[in-house]
Order: sequence, then structure tokens, then C-alpha cells
Amino acid sequence: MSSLCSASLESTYSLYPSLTRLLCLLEVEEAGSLLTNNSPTNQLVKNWRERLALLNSDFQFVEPVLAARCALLHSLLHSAAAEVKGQPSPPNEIRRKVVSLYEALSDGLLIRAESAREAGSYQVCEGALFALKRHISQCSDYGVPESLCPALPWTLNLEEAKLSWERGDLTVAMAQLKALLTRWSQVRS
Amino acid sequence: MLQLSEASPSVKALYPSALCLYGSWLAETRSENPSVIMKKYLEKSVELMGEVHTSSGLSVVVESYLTLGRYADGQYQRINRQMKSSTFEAKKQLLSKSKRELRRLESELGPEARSRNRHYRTLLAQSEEDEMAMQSLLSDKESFLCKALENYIHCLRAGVGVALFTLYM
Repeated sequence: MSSLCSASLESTYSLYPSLTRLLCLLEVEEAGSLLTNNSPTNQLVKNWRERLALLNSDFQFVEPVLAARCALLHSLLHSAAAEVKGQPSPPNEIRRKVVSLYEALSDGLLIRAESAREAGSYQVCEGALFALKRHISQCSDYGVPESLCPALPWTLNLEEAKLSWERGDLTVAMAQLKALLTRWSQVRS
Repeated sequence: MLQLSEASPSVKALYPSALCLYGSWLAETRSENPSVIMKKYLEKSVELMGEVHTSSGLSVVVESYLTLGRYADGQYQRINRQMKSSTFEAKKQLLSKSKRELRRLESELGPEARSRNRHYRTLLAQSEEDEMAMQSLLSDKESFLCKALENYIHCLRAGVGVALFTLYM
């Protein structure tokens, strides 16, 4: 807060790093309320999505917020899944919470990958896609049915192809996308 | 298994948007024939996007229309430039010259003599081929222009994040 108070207002750009940290803290607080007050997950995800639409800034300031969100959602999902496993017949409310958090984390990782790719931050994008791949493979560990997000593996493959293209691996990108289209047309038929 | 009929608009839009992306990559790398790119990828993408309601406000729907419109526009511009080039002008003059020569031969030779005259037969076949190629180019130009306009109008009607475009005619 002291850095915000003492910052010069000649250029608002100098305030961005402090504002980013403040936003991360706010989102940690909001995620915490999910655990303490048992507030609905959907409302939290909706608020975060709306806030992201307003974050029209450099990726270097948006990335910490996206990373914090993914980490928070991962912790929340982990603890909700542990709560489900700890009970012999868990109530539907907790099961729905797990599903909701699983979907929110999938979206969060995809948004992070897409934003990183568009900003040219290919390593961050690759990291997010790897995390998403692991997240998909762990869906049964969380007790989430595969049929919940059937298009998620396809979206992941599409993002991988886009990343290859942006990196300049045109042949690899086209081969990846062509393979995806072939598999997809077989599923559709 | 993916149940497309029950899927949300964003899921239904995945396959057509992948088709559109692949089509644009083929166009950029010039890895495929323009007619194959149009029919197999870009037009198919637009056709499948029709199953996704444009009222869903998805930018991928407009993206498909815009990609196809721009590609058709690019092909129209290419044919336009080709038809304004000196090579094409020379071809046109050559075709006129062949036609004049054919008329001269027709007036000098009788119907039986024409079928025996190799020069006449070769000239006739060649000029018919050149005429057909020229007509095909003109019809392609018209068709690309219509395709570009049609898809630009779709973009305007969808009205979601429409980029500016100009069509030089």
C-alpha cells in the first residue's frame, strides 16, 4: 500500500505492478470466502470472468492474476475433492461444487494459455497447456465424469496446434491440426 | 463420445472453427489449390457454423464469415491483377489474331477442306481452349466477388466485432 501512496501520478503505468498485487490479494480473499462462508462457486467464477473482460492491460500485469486464479482454483478443487472422498455418501451439493470447480479450473487454464500465446509468452502457454493435460487426466481422481467436458481434449489439441504455429513450426502445426480434423470428422460421422 | 446435438454453441463451433483455421493456414502457406481451400475448408466451416446460432454472439462465427470473405476477396483481386497484366493483354491479342485467321481460313476453305487442313484444326482447337480458359477466369472472378460480398454482408449482419474491409472493384 505504501508503494501506491508514494507513487507519482504523472504516469499511471508505474501503479500497475502494485495494482496487480492488490488484485491478486483481493481474489485470494474472494476464494477464501468460498471455504469459510460456503458461497456459491458459480458467482465467484462469474465475477472473475467479468473482471477479466475489463483487464485491458499488458500481459505482464494480467499473467500474475491468471496464475493466482489457477492456483486458487486448484487448491479449492483439491480440498473439495478430499471432502467428497472423506464421506461415505457425500451430499449432491459438494459433488456439484467439485464439478463446478473442475470446469472453472479448465476454463482458467485455457484462458491463461490463450492469453500467453497471444502475448508471445510461449513458455507460459506451454506450461498452462501441460497443466491442462494433467488436469484432464486427473478427472477420475476428482470423481468428475469424462462426459462432463467432452470437448476439452479437442480444445487442448487445438491450442497446441495454435502454439506450434505461433512459434513458427508451421509444418508441425498443420500436421497437428490435420490429425485433429481427421479424428473429429470420424467422431462426427 | 461427443453428443453434438446436445452440445453448447461453443462446443459445436469447435470443429468449424478448426476447419476455418486450417483453411487460412493452407492459404497462407499456399499448400493447396484455391478451390480445394474454399470448398473443403472455408465454405464447409461457414456451412457448419450455420448450425451454431449467430445470436450466441460467438466471435468464431463471425471469424468464419470474415475468413471466407477475405479469401474470396483476395482471389478476386488476384484475378483482377492478372486480367490487367501485360501477359493477359498479349494472350487476348493472340486469341483475336487466331480468330481472325480462323475466319480467313473458313472463307477460303470449303467444309471438307477445313476438316483435312491440319493448321485449321489445330488453330480451332487451340482458340476454343483459350476462349474457354478466358470465360472460366471471368466466371471465377464473378463467383469470388459474389462470395466475398455475401460473407462480408453476413459479418455486418452478425455485427460482432466487425473489422473494417474494403472491396476494390
